[in-house]
Amino acid sequence: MITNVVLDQVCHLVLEDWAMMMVDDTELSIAQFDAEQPFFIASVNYSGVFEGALTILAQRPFMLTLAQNVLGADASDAICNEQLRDAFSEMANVVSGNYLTAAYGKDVEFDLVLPRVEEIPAAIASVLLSKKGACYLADEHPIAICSEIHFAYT
Amino acid sequence: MGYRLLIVDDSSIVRNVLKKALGMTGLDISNISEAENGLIALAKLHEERADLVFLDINMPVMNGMEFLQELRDDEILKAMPVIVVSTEGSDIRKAQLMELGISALLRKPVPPEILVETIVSVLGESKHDN
Repeated sequence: MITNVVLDQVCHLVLEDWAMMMVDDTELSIAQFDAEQPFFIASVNYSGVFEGALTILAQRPFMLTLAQNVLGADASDAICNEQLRDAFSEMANVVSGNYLTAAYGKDVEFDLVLPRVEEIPAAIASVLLSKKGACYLADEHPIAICSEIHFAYT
Repeated sequence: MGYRLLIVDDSSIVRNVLKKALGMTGLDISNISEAENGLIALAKLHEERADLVFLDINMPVMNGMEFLQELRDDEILKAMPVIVVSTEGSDIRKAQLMELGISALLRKPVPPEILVETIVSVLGESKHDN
């Protein structure tokens, strides 16, 4: 699917250039996540000619590495929960904006709702993983990204 | 006297990253203020002088478009240079922003060299050497 190819390119750009992570494409199952850690999603809803949502699924170790890398912090620097959520939320924002332009062109306008970060149960995480999207090991942390889009005015 | 800059973004991460990047530009910067939305930014601009505003679009309370409209309607602040740093990429939005008199539109993630190039171009290269 073309949009998945574009999503993959944008995810690589954001994870490698912005988050400064080593990224490996992979197939993910729930078993590859840490059973001891809670699941989080960062999601951005958008509307315009199309409407939909982009969702990123990850766990705290990924969010911590993300925040440390983006802030240029050392492993010994304290990162608070607000910063973890903020970095995760901003990642969803950057992926969404770049993905929508890359996938649908510069002449299509979207309104992005403010990103939301939520803790979700493992069962919901399994459902998200079953959707078509992009899955990676980013600095060896599993993450999954999916975008659902449909025509708003049909 | 160095430049006084204002960063308007609801993400503390983005404000921190931008502050760090600005610190590495070699520009003579005397002060960097922060605001988490357009309303706070307008209040700050009335309290303290700024030479340049870095503005996000998608923010709560007062977004970047609303801030720009208020700024351009303000007799004292209407000439303030603004660089938009956003994920917004559509031509329609870009045209709307240009109409509101922005100096440049940078798409996140912004490479540091593009940031420097844009600031120098907006503020004037002569001051860069000060």
